[in-house]
Amino acid sequence: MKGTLTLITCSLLILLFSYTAVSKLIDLDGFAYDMHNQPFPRWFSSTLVYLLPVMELLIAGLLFSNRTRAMGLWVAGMLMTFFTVYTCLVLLKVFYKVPCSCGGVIKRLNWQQHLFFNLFFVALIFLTIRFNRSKNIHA
Amino acid sequence: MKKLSIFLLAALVMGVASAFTTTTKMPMDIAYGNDGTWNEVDPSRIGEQFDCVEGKEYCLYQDPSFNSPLPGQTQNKLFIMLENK
Repeated sequence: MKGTLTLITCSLLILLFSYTAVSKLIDLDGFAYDMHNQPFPRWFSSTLVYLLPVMELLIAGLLFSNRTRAMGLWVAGMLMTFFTVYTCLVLLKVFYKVPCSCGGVIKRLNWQQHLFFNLFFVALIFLTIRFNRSKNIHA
Repeated sequence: MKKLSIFLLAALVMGVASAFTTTTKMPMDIAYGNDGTWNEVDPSRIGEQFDCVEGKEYCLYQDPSFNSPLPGQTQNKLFIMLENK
């Protein structure tokens, strides 16, 4: 059960992060424009343009090895939590503008769908972490 | 272990392949701003602040036919916050 859950979670996360990272890198100009229209300072948006796809690829890489899987799940959990909080703030109309800057077909989701999508992954990640208390996570 | 690696590798291949097959580059050659009427805007200025009609949050699009510019609802749109004149 524990192994199956880990296998499903890691596979889904690798699929998600490799897809979104490569989508961003394919259309880096479009992603940069989207990011520069986020309600962040310009220097922060410029950093995120490169940092996000690199982080996503790094997470996908960390999830491959038993030794680094726990760290990969924690980083993925933190990143998805950050996205979820951001989505909540957008839905609560905290920002003065709400552009979407997701990779590939995911940018076609509306913000409510985004929230459920993110919550599903956050729940899955932390459930997997909870089931795997040891430092090295084996499937 | 081998089964796990195969599944994870398959997920990686699927993710990368899907990205290449579904992602299209956002065309950057023509952009339109709406300051009451649609005007062609120099795309190199995207990312800067433009003047905006009061009450409009999203004012720059790839195509002037996007009359319902909700985030995530239309493709090829570029978001620019235009400040009030």
